[in-house]
Formats: sequence, structure tokens, C-alpha cells
Amino acid sequence: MNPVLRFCSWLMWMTRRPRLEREMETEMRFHIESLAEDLMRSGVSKQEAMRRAQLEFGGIESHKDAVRASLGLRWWDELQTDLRYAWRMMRRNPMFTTVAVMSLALGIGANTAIFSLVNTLILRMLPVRHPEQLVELLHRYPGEPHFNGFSWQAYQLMRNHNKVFSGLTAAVYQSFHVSGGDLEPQTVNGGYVDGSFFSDLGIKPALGQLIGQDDDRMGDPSAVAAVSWS
Amino acid sequence: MLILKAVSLGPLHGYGVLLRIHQISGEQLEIQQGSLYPALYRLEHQGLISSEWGESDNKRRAKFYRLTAAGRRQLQAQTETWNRMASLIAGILHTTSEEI
Repeated sequence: MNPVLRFCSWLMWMTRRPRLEREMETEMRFHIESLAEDLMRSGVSKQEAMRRAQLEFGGIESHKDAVRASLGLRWWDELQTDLRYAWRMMRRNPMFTTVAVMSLALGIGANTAIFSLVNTLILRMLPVRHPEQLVELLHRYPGEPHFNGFSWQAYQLMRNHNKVFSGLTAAVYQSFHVSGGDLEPQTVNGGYVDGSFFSDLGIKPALGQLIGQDDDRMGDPSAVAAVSWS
Repeated sequence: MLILKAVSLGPLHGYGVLLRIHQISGEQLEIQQGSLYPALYRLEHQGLISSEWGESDNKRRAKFYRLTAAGRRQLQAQTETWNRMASLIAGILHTTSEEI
């Protein structure tokens, strides 16, 4: 049989439960009464006919239950009773519930914390040559928050006297307005980097070449750019 | 299969299905009254029959079932299977020792 049709029918009855109950009731009552009328026609008293009809029909509730089962609504009903039962038991035993909820909360919390650490440190390393050696330099004036902006002179001084790191490179993040040809002008996220940025990080170009030391000249009008698709 | 056959002869309400089966079986077959309904709802759920509310002979609201196109195909397929099976078994049961 068509599973989509069957799902639609299931969903329809699921959302129209009161109507289903009403229809079943009307339908089965009609059945019993018709049966009783036929019995009365064969000469049985009204009371006796009703009694025999009900007996022959069997338990209305158990037949209704079988209908619900045949429509696939039973598991939903059972789930609801189970949930209600669980809720009642938890209400009756608040101490146990508190301990259970606390241990679940602590367990989930600890797992999340450990995972976010592992995720940043091990699973999501930066795609550079030695991500574990990469550090960011910050400076701080007394009583002020950390700050990672350096003047060009300060950067040059540090780069020329660097004996601690295998390389020192600089970048400034900024948005650029890009336009050209018949393209709509748009704003993209980007940044300025110095000539050692790509070589220090060990990034290889997929196509063409990256910005290198040769491009790093003050006052050069021919600006160059590297484009990333990530 | 019996329900599909009964409904294929014209729209019927639940009680009517029982009466019709009783009648077309030459009053040989009686189905337990209430257990008819799970079967009817299941057939409707499977799209083999459809139902609508109407008025019965005694002027009361009743749900009438009719066969759908899918139900008609299903009835035909089941009838063929049944006939094949019945003739196969009849053949087996009629075998005498001389024929082996």
C-alpha cells in the first residue's frame, strides 16, 4: 500500500482524535441499535433485544481499542500514558528526581565542556603548517584591556629584533567594497597582510600565487590581493 | 477479502456489511459483530475503501463504505490468488493412488 497515503491518514486521525472517538461511538451505537431492531422484528422484547445485541457485539471499548491499533494510534496513546506515569512518579519522589536531574545536568555539562575544548584544540585546528605554535601578540597598558593593535614602527622593531619566534607577521581585518565589470558592487570581509603572512603560516595557493615579500613595498600603487573561497 | 467483496456490491454501513456477508454466504458465515470495525478502519487506512456519512434506511446517521479504485484492484488480485490456491489444493486432494 502507498506509505504516503497511509501516513496522511495517520496524521489526519492523529490531529482529529475527538472526531475519531465520536465517529466510532456513533457508528458502533448505530450497529447495536440496528441489530436490536432486527431482533425486535423477530418478536423479541425491546429490552431483551438490546441486551442480546450488546452481548453479540462484544465490548465497545475493546473494539475501539482495536480500531486505534489498526490506525497506528496505539503507540502514541501508550507513550502519553507512560509519560504521565513518569511525571506522577517524579512528583511523588522529589528527592530522587532532583538527584537524577542534577547528575544528568552535570554529566551533560561536563561532556559539553570537554567536547568544546577538544573540538577547538584537536578537531578544529587552523589549516596552517604548525597550528600548535601559532600565538597572537597582545599588549596592554596598565589599567586597560588587552589590545592587539601595534603601530607599523613598533611591529618593524619587534620583527627586526625577534629571537623568540620563528617568524612574525601582521594583519589588519577590514571590509572592502568590490566592484567590476557588470557585477553589483558588494562588501566583502578581508584584511591587509604583510609580505611574510602566507609564507610564515605555510599556506599554499590553489591557483596563481600568494602575496609575498616582493609585494611588500611602501607606496607601491599596484595593489595585489589573494582571494579565498572558504 | 470478504469485506471488500461485500462493499464492491454497493455502498454499505458497518452493520450492512455483516448482513451482506451473511446473505451472500448463503447464511453460512457469521462474523463476530464488533471485530468488523478494526478491519473496516484498517482497510480505509490502507486506502482500499472510503467512507462518508449518510442516512440509513431507518433515517439515522450512518457511515457508508464504498470500494476505491485501489480496493477494486486489490480485490481482483486477491480473488485470482485465492482461485489459484483453491484449484491447486482441490487438485491435490482429488489425487487417487492410481494417478501417481
